[in-house]
Amino acid sequence: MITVEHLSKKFGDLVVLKDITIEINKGEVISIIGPSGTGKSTFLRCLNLLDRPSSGSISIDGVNILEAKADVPKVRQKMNMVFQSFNLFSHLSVLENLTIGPIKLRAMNKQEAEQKALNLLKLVGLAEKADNYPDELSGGQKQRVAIARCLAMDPEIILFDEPTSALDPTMVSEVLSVIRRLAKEGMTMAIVTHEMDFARDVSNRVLYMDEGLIYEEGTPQQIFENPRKEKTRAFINRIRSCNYQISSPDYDLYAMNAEIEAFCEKQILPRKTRHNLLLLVEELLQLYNPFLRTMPLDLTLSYSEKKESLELVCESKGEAVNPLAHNLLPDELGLIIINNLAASIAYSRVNDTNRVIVLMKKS
Amino acid sequence: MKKARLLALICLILVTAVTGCRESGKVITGFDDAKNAKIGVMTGSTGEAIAAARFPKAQVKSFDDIMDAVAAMKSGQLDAIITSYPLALQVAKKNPELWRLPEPLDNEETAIAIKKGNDELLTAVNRIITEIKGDGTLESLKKRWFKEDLAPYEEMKIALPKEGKALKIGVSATREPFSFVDKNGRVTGHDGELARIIGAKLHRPVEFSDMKFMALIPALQSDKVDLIITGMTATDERRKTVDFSQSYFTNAQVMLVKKTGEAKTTTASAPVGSAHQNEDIKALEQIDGKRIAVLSGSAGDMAARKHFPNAQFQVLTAAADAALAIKANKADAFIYDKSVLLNLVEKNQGLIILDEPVDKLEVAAAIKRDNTALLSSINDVFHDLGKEGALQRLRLKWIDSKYAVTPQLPPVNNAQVTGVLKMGTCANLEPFSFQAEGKITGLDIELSQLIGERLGKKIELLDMNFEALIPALQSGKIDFALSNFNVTEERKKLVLFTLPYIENDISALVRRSTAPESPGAQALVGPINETASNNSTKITSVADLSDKRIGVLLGSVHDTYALEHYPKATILQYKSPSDLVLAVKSGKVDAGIYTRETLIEILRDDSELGLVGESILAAPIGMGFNRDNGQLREKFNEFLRQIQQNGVYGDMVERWMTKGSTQMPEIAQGKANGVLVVGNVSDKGLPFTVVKDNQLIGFDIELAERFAAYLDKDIKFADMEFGSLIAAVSTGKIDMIASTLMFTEERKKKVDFSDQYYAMGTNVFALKKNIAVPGPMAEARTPSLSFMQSIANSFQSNILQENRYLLIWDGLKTTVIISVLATVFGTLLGALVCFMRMSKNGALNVPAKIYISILRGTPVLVLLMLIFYVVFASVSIDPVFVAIIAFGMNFAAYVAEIFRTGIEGVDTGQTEAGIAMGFTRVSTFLYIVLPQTVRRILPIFKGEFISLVKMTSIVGYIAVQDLTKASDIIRSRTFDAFFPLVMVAILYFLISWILMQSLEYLERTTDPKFKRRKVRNA
Amino acid sequence: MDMQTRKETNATVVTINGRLDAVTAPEYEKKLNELIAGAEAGFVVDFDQLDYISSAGLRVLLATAKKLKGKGGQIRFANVKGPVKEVFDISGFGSIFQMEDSVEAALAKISA
Repeated sequence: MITVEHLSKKFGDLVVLKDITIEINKGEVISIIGPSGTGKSTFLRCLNLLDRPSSGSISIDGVNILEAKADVPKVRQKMNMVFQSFNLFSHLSVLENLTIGPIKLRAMNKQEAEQKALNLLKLVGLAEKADNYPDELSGGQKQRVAIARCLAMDPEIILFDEPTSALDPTMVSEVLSVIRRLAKEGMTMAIVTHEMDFARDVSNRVLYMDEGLIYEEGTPQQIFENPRKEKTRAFINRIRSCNYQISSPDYDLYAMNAEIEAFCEKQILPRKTRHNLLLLVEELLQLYNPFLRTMPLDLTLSYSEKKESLELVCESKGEAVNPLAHNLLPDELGLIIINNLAASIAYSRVNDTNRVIVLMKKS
Repeated sequence: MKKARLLALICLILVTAVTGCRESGKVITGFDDAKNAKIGVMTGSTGEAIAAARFPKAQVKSFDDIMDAVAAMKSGQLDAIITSYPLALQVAKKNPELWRLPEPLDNEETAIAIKKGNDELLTAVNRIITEIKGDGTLESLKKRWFKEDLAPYEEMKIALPKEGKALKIGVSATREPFSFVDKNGRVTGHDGELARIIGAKLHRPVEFSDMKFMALIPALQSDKVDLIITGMTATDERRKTVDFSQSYFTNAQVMLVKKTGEAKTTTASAPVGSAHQNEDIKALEQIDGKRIAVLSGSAGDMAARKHFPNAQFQVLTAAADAALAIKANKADAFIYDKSVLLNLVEKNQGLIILDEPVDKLEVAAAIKRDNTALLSSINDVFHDLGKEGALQRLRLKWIDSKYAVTPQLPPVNNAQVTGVLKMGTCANLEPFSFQAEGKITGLDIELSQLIGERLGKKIELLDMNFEALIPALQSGKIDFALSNFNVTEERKKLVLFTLPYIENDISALVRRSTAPESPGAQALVGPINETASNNSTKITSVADLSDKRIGVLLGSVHDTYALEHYPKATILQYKSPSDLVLAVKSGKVDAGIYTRETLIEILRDDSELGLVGESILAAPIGMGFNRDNGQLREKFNEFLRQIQQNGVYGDMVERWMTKGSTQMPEIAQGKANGVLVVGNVSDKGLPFTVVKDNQLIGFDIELAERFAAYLDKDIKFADMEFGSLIAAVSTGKIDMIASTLMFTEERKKKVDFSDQYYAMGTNVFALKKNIAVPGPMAEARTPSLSFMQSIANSFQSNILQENRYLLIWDGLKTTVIISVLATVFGTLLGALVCFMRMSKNGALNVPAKIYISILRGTPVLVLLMLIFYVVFASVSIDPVFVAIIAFGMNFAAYVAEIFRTGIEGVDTGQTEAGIAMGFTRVSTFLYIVLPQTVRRILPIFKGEFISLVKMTSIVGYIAVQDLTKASDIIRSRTFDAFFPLVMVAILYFLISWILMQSLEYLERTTDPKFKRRKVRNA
Repeated sequence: MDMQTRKETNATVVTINGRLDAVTAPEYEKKLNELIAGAEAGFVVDFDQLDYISSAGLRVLLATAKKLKGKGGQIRFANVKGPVKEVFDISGFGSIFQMEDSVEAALAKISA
């Protein structure tokens, strides 16, 4: 249905979209995810030419809409859009918001248009708000009206540009359920969203965009459960991490503590967790201490926002040694503490590297 | 009354604020102080040129109005003002903290013009002027012709010879009071009489040639006339083509400054009738320290300065001025030749000469220092002559007699001549030594003849410059000099003086200590005697106006007249005749001066007002034509002559002026030769132009219509502000002005006048109850009406009478049409400008920005006039259309910015949503952005619209008859300010209100919630 | 490290504050050894101001206790609480050492 080839978009010197090639088929629900500022919305806006691409081609049913002769307004009627900020026409009532398009653009008669609009409002559960004005609706209601307004134009595809970002958390679900319903009815949709669970449930295909590219693409299972690429995984799990290199027994414990504290602060971890994390790191380093002279330690601390889990990965290159092995310890005091703080401790040796992964207990 | 008090309080506060804010101005006591001062002048006046020439380093500021300049000076923005003497007098009187520097800066000299090269006549005329100056004739002339009251002129009978070569005098007999034609068709006036005096003195009959002022000088050059005596100012420009006699009338330019500290306290303690007046001067010693008037360079001047070193000197140029200064309490004493003073006292009963002379003036013959022999022989002769009474006779003959014709010298007896005595004289010192009829004559000459006879010598006269006489004596070129030599100490060092042959006292002239007793004297002193007029608030004659409040029309000839003739009166200027009449009726002024013909019309309807005396001034009026359209003007003059001959003109005068008819005769208008566009002012007033039954009627109108018929043209009247008429005719908007246009020099530069078709009189009018001899009915006929009755009367006369409501209705329609169409046009244009302004294309948005800033920065009146008189100057265009364009253009500039803010205020998301839905950019704007913009901008738009409606009241400037103009027209008929003005105010309010309601309706329809509310209620 | 000692009639009260970790532990050990060498036998350690303790700290305390025991002295802990108490608990030290709720209580125990 829509074929995008080598699409790029620059705003001045800033390259937002590099080289995007994708095909959207009828009936597909495509979720576009990725960190902020990686061009997801721009991509969507390029599709209906709200932003004009710098190069590449967009063909709809085999017709390149970037050609000068293309009837862009006509194309847009088939490809309506739902905005983050709703953009309901504030001078028109809810009903009129739905009828203005069909009446003015489709030459539909008023009665028919109103009937249809009322049906659509029923569909989104807002029939009783038909005579209200946009400023009298809540955010969630506005967005549902906006979706109904799109539907009133009988579009072949609806582009959703972060439809829930501007909503209170309490109103997100009402909007998402409407979109879910559309998905079930087989509406072709491209949705830019930060609602990962929703994206996983509703879509046939997920595009992970990063650095102005479609970085990884696949089924929801593939992307959400088994992302092939590290960035995707980090994004999906919403993992934040920090990394320290320790190459001497005389490392600066306090400097490192400060960094860990800052990291925790950023992730808004509770005090208790922070305390335990510091204790865990100190105890681990105590165990590693004898080897630091010969084998520098690479410590990575990762927090998955999604799983709310803290993970410490200790990697040391060199001879195969597990510092946590009982036999190597002067006393068991440190290990006892570690074991008490960790949910799991796993040692593995990968390519000359000893890797100990400690998953912290949730406190 | 309360209001008046409040107003007075506000004025007081304002004045205090203004005067109080900057007192530290520069104090000017003489011209030297003014070098670096801030000087105010009136735009385009002589004062402006004087300031530039005399005070090149000063900061000169121009003002349109003396009052503005005075206000500026009082607030410390100016240090001095240069203006003409009468104005300065007026201002100084009203503002005790200001005073006039006694020395005039410059004098505009009025003189007699004589053909270049005709030195003989020039000398004779100069001599005569000197003569009549000295003997008070000129002063008497001035008094009789430049009158302050409206009593008939008293012309002096002068016997002229019937025989001889006639002296041809060029006059422009439209310059009352200098020269004008009296009811017998004789040229008279100050200059008429002066001309006759000159004729009499030259023993020649006089023949007047009355012609256009501009034609006078060419006539003189081509020997058509011998002299021009018609109040002509001796300008340098004219001096290039003609010679001028000495001046016979002086209009001084003076400097007005703030008083110094001491002076201020003096006047403050005695604001009226000041301390100087109370302390009468009875002895010479009292004079020192007072204000002394002297004539520049006179013996009196020197004597006064010598004897009264502490006095304050006021240097004047004419003895009469000095007398006036004393009477007006501007000076305390005048020191001058006693013989002249005697003359003044004779004419001014309020003045007296102190018995004790200030100094003695001795006139003697000068002789070379070592020639004691000649000295003793001449002294012997003088001694004998004195004994014989010959000196006394000479004096009587030459000095005291006020001869009208130069006395003849007795024949010289050359019987026993044994030698020659060379006598030097300066023959321009009448009556001592001067030229008459080509010969040197005078007292000194006659005396020299006597000396010659007694000494048996032939006297050889050598006429030389006065300054050359003493060197000539010293070098032996002459033996003695007789040339009115005053004996001074300095001269005694250089030459020998004989015994004096003339002794003259220099005396002081002061005010009489008690008021004059004889009623005759009082009448003679008239307006100048303050006590007399102050005691009575009633006006008996025009003379009583001298200290009253007089209302005049701003910039009119009456204005100038009042200023000149009533320097002590408070002159208030009004912008329209109706305002003036109202001011008189409401007692804001005691009397008004206005066109007689119009006044008579007003008095027909108004029993409260009455005329005071007879016409005081006649002003010729004519039609005004474009200077390039001489043909039309000629046609008119031809037409005028025709109707004057066939009696039509006489009939018109009879009907309009005499009978006060308001009926227009039917005049069939031709069509054959197109349209004659005639500019007029519809509220000029009867009998000239007025609107009756919504038709223009009046003398001017009938005349114009008759003229159009004569040309076989259709006629179209363009009704406009008086101030716009001249601009309109010079830009060709109208073909001619038919609006009682008086001839003035200023106007002649802009337009050509037809021949005079009428001469308007000027009268003083006042409330009848304020006129001392009221009409028997006056008091009885003004019973106080109840409020409701007076409202009903006003309604009757302002609205119902003559169907005047139709006028209002038409004006209303015009106002609404202009307002609405200008709004529509302005809105559309504004939308275009806004579109250009918002365009990213520089070629569009830069012009739009320029348009907006220029239009917003230009007063709409200026824009209106520019479009009418400049842009469409040569296009025949409906002024209503011009008004719509001008207001529309102005409105557009504001509206464009309002639109822009409105459009920019609509969230871009709205546009995006529309576009994403499949609307084109244009339809998105129309369906989505515009409705929201409209709702947003309507409140501001409404305000702008209301101000546009009110702004349209200025369209009268371009001959549109709108609501305001309609009220002016009615006021000009009824002279009732209250009703028409209040009614118009209400109507403007109603228009605004109705139009605002319609906009509010629009506002409501664009307010979605209102719409729904309505639906719900239904 | 900021250790304060106060001599009471029957024991020395040692107040430790801040952190007792791998960095500070050696210094605390040194100070405590000095006190023991100075023939102090009774110790009350006040944990009130201590925020953090790691295994390194625990080892110091254990070593000190052992030394005192050898000398016939005794050590008691007061005001062990919060995260520090937790570490004591998970490491099993809670049962090894005698802990009191306040310094006074601990002093009373020593004298007894």
